[in-house]
Amino acid sequence: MESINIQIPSLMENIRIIESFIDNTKDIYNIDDDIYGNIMIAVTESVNNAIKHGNKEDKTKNVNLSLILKENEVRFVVEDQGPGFDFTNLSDPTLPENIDKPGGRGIFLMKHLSDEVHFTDNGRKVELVFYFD
Amino acid sequence: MEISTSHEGSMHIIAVNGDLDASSSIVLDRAIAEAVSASKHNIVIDCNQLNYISSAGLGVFMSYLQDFQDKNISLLLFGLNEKVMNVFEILGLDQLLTIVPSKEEARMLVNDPLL
Repeated sequence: MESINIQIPSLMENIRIIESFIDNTKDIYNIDDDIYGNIMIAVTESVNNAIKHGNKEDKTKNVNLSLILKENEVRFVVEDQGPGFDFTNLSDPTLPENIDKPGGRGIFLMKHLSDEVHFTDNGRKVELVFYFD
Repeated sequence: MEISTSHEGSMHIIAVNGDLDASSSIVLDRAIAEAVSASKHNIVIDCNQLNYISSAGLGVFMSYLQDFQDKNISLLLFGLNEKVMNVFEILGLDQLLTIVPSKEEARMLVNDPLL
């Protein structure tokens, strides 16, 4: 098992750091293109939420991203320092009453593109798991 | 991400090159806002060089839908790669936005003569 950990201040432009981190991960661990595409979207959605909704773009607060690589899976853990949120009560962005709203799609995408999504610590911590198969 | 704009017939083409994420979506938002204020009626997004789109990028398109309807502006997207198209499909946005394979199809939809 290998793990890497990075921390970024909560600024929206730091999403680019996450993108290059995922790019590097793909090259170092030889991650398949299909999984890579899903990882790129799901993890950046999660970090985006952590910056924007968790830490409210307060640059004195950090977002922590860990990667844990196992034989059959890669796991990304995103943690913010915000107040948390109610992850059990999310609206479905594909319903007619929600479909033309600008927001509310990030977690829906994360759930569809990851093999497992776990929220813990009152929603401050999100784990995204992708299987190699 | 880089954005370039061009005109072909009645089409105001905004080409998106790179990753459309929360950080870069502001640039696209500005480009669309400029097209709307310049009274362009056929806004066409060239996605041939779009690597991936996040929900923030999608939110830009969705935030203009009502405005487009009120101002009789048509929005077309073309050249989406499989992964980008998948994101639109997961969210059901392929039913709400007009997405065509190529610029030629976009041109036909806006009834422009062949150049």
